[in-house]
Amino acid sequence: MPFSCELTIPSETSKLAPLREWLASVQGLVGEELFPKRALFPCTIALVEAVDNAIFHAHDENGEKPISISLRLNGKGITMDIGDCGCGMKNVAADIPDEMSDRGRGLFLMNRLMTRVESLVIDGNHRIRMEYEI
Amino acid sequence: MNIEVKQNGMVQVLQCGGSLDADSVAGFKKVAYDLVKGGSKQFVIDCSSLNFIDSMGLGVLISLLRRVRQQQGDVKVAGLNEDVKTIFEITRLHRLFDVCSDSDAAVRKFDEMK
Repeated sequence: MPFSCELTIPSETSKLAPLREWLASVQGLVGEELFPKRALFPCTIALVEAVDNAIFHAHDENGEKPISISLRLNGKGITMDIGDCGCGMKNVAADIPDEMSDRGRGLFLMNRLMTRVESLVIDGNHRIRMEYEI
Repeated sequence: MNIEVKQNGMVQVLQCGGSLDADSVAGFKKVAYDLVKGGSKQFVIDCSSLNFIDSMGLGVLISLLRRVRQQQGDVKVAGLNEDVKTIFEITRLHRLFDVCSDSDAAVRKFDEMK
């Protein structure tokens, strides 16, 4: 049976640890068939990177701007939508940055760890959609 | 994040516990950069109690590495768990940093350079 849930958090880095715990608790709740344990690590990293992008780029660290997170599980894959108040990205593909650069690895990690990453604008609202095929 | 600093000769060992992420990079940066300002240029980042790192955590380690290499110093990382090791490998930072099995081995490598 498919499973879905949503939550909204403020644009605060203090919410990152509870967010990771939330995802782990969902994995424990729904079990292996919908959310294999091996998917928890890549999904956690990708989720945190997407939320980092929303906090620092889309919202410029304005804590009052909300970030919406939805998670859908159907036994074939895991889909995470991270919605923000920004205008989106033209290109979500990312090469690995120069090794001495201290920036630019977030999108790269999202692309490497997830099956698909898209930047969507739906009804004027931006979201990053990330899919992990089981 | 918990950071405990232990000095071993000329080497500063930073024992990091918990998460090195967007929420904790400022604290890490303050501790590490204060040591650099004080003249330290040999660092071991003991990650044996670190359970999570994101791209911002990687960024602050690279930033520290850049600073100390300008002064002919180095940053070695030690005790990576499987998840943190995977992040280093995906981002190819295992080629940039000297990755050691544990902090004692990392300190010994610095000592052997004398």
